[in-house]
Amino acid sequence: MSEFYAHIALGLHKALSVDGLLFCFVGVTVGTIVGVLPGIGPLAAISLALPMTYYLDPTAALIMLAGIFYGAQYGGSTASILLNLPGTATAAITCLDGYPLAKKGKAPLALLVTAVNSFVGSSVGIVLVMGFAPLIAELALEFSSPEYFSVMLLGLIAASTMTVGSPFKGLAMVVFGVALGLVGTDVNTGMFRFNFGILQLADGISLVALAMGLFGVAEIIANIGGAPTKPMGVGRIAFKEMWPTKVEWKRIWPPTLRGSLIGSFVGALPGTGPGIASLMAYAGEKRLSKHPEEFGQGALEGISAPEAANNASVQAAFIPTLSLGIPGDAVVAVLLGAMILHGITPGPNLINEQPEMFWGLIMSFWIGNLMLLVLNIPLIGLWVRLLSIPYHLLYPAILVLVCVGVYSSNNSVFDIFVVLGFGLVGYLMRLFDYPAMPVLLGFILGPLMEEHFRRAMLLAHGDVAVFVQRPISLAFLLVSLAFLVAAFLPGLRKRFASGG
Amino acid sequence: MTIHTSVREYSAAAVVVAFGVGLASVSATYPLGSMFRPGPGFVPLGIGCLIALLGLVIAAETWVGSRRTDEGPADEGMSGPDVFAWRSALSVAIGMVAFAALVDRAGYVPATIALVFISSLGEARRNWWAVGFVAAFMALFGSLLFIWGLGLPVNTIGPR
Repeated sequence: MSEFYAHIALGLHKALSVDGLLFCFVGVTVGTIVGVLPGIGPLAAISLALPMTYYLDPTAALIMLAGIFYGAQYGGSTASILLNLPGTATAAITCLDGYPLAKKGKAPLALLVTAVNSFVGSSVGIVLVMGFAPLIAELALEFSSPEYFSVMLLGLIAASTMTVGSPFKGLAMVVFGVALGLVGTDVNTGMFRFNFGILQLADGISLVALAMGLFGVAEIIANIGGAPTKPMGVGRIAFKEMWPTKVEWKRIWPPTLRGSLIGSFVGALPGTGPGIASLMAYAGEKRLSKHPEEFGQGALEGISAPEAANNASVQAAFIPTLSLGIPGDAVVAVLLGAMILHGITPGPNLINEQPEMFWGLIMSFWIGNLMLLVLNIPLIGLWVRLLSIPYHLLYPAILVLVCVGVYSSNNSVFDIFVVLGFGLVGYLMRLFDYPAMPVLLGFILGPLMEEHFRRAMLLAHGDVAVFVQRPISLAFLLVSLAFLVAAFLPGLRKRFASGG
Repeated sequence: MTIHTSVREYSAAAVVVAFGVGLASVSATYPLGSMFRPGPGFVPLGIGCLIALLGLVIAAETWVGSRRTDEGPADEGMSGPDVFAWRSALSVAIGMVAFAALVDRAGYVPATIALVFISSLGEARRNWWAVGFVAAFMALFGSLLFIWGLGLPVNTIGPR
């Protein structure tokens, strides 16, 4: 136990250093801004900031990038409530009841509830990270290639089948991402694959370029020409108006706790993130509620549970990321990519070898969330004003940042064309309802999986049975199978129903 | 589900299948190795086949969905706009190409101004003064932050 306190002290030392505080503050502020603004999300912001962190100490870089991620979850609900337009994709659920609440004149209350619930959800998530990440890392020291392959497979399957639309489109996109990850030099033989004679592709497709194309540029193309938005006049927000009554309070806290738990669980699963967490929490509350008809009309439960859930899931996503080196979500996957770029190998050894980084990052979560509470309650008026910047002036500026960002990562214009290419592909995928998140996850996990697959084959003398003979690997494969069966079931059930 | 959306869905699935087949056929030209020692083409070949297979499953899912009167399984998610927004896509694309063409040859400031003005043509109406302000702001702010602050190796004006 004393070791635990020593670790916390070590982490606080790092997180409370001038660098730690500064980059945490920058991260959560940028996060809040991109969260508030519809049309630019945390993924695009993190990919933009990534090339700028090359010069930073890796821990400071991670603290900042992570701050953007969880900060955006706080800001995301603001536009949902005031504009009926999600600031981040994960806050879409908050529109359902947040906007009706604002129409009833209860916008201040809704904004307070989402900020406080974000904090509660995050706290639950962080406590779980502190408890479970070291524990899982210790277990994972026993892992070798077959286990790694299987758990990554589980991550990819979970991510692609637990989407809103067709699970098969999700699966196809995950594999598409894996295919994109193949481009470049083969690790084992040094042979160039799929680079079609283009020298710039010898190191593979740039992660920054892919992420900015699929999420930044595609989003911009889709949003241009949308109806001009006008935020609902909140006027001056008085603190008194924000505070819930006793009756309201009673309707808020049980969904908050349930949402936090659902969110933590979903977030901790490799591959599944805040979008699914908030959706599940909302559906769960609606089912539990005695007044399901109030949902969609401004039910407080309808904003409490999803907001707690998406923040909890964002923090819990760090459990598999920091203990196994397997991203809990596509955004965290970019963070993982950032670690690799900084020369840190994510995996079970990370916590032991880099205790300062691990505990520093965790402690910065506490500090960052406290900062966010201040940023989002007393300063909410500032962010609301941001919403009055018209999108047609915002997107050219974002495009400049995108172009400079990718250019600076390799000092080559080639990556600008890569971004544009994936921007168009990403826009087409949107048109046809193919999800983009799985592509990124497959892109990052794919090369690791191929390496582990080939190593496992080498060690097992080409016997595929090795994946089912090792109990931990078998367990992961069985869970993956369960996800796949669950994906097929709704379709099967429908067919049976129609066939009589 | 109308016939029109089915056609859209099938053509998208066809692209997925074609991509998988293409990937697999390129992979087949790489050394495949053996199960004991998988070569560079082994995993890509498997992935290509898997993508093609998934494309077929998506098509099958659409088919099953279209035979039912109520909404198909693929229709539950948020659906985006229906038509390809040529104006938005072209203005963004030309703007970015202009930036790429100008940044090394003419410098950061001309590239930025070109990108801002061209991409803002994506909206049907615009206020040129406001666009000019954004261009000036990004040129100044970007020069200070990226070139002076972070040492990006390009010139503000003039070839690299």
